[in-house]
Amino acid sequence: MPEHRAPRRRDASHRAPRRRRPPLLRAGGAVAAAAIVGVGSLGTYAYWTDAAAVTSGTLTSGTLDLKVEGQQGTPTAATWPALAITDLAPGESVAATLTLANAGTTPFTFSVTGTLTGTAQPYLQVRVVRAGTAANSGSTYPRTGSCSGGTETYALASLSAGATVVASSPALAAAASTTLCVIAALPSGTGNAAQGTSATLTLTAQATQQ
Amino acid sequence: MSRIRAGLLLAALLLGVAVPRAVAAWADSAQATSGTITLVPTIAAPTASCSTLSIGGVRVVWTAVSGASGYRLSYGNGGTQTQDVGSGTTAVVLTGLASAGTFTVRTLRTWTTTTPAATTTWTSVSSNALSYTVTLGLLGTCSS
Repeated sequence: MPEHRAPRRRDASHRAPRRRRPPLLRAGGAVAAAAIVGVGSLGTYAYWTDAAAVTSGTLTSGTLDLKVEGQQGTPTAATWPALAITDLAPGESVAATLTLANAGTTPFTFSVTGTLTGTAQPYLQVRVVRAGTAANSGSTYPRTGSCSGGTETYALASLSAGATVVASSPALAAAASTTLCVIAALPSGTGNAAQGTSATLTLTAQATQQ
Repeated sequence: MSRIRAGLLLAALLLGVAVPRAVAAWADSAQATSGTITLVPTIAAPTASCSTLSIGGVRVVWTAVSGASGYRLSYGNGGTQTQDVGSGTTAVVLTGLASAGTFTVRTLRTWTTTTPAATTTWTSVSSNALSYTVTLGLLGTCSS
């Protein structure tokens, strides 16, 4: 129990007397020691500072936007009524122009695939001319569709699902547009089973930033 | 190991070897679906009928079909004999027949182009079948 212990007392009279150094010698020793050890005396420093905020102009990202027939074309396919015909007979064809536009701000190249859907798929043939212009002649048999100008990218042939009809294109600049001339034809000699069938053609264009 | 990798990278940079960069190009797609491309409708078949009794052969008639280029007649035993007639013809007297047979008629539709020169003929399905008999080569009787 510490509180019952008697306090210890140290009697100075029983300690050996200390030798005292002269003050000047003590200060010099401290400085020398500090210099040797490398401990500098600490000072107070005050740096001036300032800050200024600068606001940039608006950073606007570009856009890549492909439109077909003036429509977004995704997720709902654009309508393209120009390529339509009734009572298509052997030896006849119909042509129509599809417009592809760069509605964004960055150039792109594009490719196009095509799919015929319907019972007439085995009998119809398709031709695609990039940058071509479509024309149709005659209102009675044989009605004929044709493409002028441009570059043929898919020669007249049957079309398997998802076939590439335009493999590549030159860059289409922002705000520019181009065309695809498309012909759907029923060749002479088509078999008897084709009568009464029909189909639609779906073209899927894929734009890639240039 | 990391020293080796760093060394290789430095060497590649010094030698001008391009370090591949990850490039993400923007893309967009759009679809367009055409209107409907409809082929010539199914060609209608005529309806055949016959006189119950005729002299010198069997007389058959059939209904005219709009747009027909002609008609293809099938008769004889099992319908093995054929004869094409023009679009203006809708009745014939079949002569030289064997004793009995069946008759059907199909509509023909022909398309001819000049460039390229080609002709395509489609036919309808067969009409209703008529059965006939000829007695002594002169007296024909027919029924549907």
